[in-house]
Amino acid sequence: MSLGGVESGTSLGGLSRTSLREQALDQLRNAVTSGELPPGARLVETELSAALGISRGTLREALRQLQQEGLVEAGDRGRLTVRTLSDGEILDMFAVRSALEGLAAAVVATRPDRDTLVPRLQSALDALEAASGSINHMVEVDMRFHLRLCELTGNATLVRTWEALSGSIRMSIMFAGADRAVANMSVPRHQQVIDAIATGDPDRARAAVDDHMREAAANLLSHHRDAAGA
Amino acid sequence: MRDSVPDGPRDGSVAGLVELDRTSLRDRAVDRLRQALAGGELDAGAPLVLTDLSVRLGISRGTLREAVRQLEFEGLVEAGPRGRLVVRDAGAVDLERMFAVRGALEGLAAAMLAGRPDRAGAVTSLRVRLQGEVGAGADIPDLLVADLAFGRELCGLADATTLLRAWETLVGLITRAVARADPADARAALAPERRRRVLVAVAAGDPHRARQVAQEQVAQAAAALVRPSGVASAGGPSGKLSTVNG
Repeated sequence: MSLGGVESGTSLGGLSRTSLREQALDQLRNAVTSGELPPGARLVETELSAALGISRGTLREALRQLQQEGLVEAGDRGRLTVRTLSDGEILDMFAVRSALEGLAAAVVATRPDRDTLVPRLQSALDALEAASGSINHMVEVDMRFHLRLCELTGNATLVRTWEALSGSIRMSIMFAGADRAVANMSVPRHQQVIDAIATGDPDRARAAVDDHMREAAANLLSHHRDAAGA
Repeated sequence: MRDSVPDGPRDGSVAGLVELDRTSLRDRAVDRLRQALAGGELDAGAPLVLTDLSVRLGISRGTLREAVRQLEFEGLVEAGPRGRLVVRDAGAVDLERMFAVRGALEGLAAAMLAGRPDRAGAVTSLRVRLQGEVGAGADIPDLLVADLAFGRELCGLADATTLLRAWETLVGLITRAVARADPADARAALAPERRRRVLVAVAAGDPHRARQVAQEQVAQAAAALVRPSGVASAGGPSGKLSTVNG
């Protein structure tokens, strides 16, 4: 594990106390959602507080926050581990995304300015097609496409709700490893969502998102079966 | 509102239940602050001064910070300039669109539960809740508590992690929509009959129909609470923040 220590000792006395906590939180969140701290990894307070250069009280508060975000779970005797997603939880995660992004697709499909919105979604997909480099970067670009879909609705609550889940979403994308994650970033499958929205038919748009999410979830589950059989 | 969490000792003198008491204190602080924020007791954009609030509510700053995080999650507080926490200007949020998200989530929850062969336990648990809740003539805050408790349980029984967390991001704005509505409209939106219809549809076991019914009920509640004209009375119920610790 290569968690860097939180930079401290700056001249910003009072401010750095708050930002220490926030910085530690960011680092932990990134370590979990990127797979650096893999599912099931035990979170040992003494090790983490030393690695991050923060007190155990501050660390505990950050861990409680991650628990609330669904990235960390308490196991036997209150021991904290990085959350492991069961098949059922992965299906649930994609069902919730389907409800949110299906609503988004249906709304965008029926907006009067649809013709100007579709190209903006297309450019997000172009970015995914052009993306290369680290898996973390690829996942970011993929997530940006889905967030863009929500943003194009003009529904601020929809965006907020989706963003509140983004840590768990990133975690579920990465859950079955980098290869599976990249396989789920198929450009043609995202294109089907755009094309359905472009028809202006909200039911088709919603159905395209449903198909997309169901297929993505299934890809992650089949990986579990392969791994179990190997 | 979090009635699954037992109340702390009433006289505050019993030792040995520190963690439980702390949890319930936080939840009470969340409830109290939610009412204050949704009801307009604190102005939009005003900074939350934690030292001041912790004294007024009679809780530690650590407990208060956890409470405020929950309210940030629920959409009533946000990080302002230089990272300071401020009261979110929820007046700028389109409540009708918020209810579209609520409909999508509660519709999913109802469909998930209706599609389960072993839904009987969930149906019983929802039925018991409905039987135990306040009647249609109760005070609006109590009706809101019942309405939110039902929605929370519906989503929690369907998927206690992702779906419930998504739904919780809406609680602040739902509370605000009720606080701003005329009493008659709020009663129409929060009527127990709405929850009973959802329960009946879930029990019948047809996911498609259950989704439809749950979405209809949310849409009708939204229509009652959110006037198309967007006219809303200023302010709201007033009252001073008081301690939750005694």
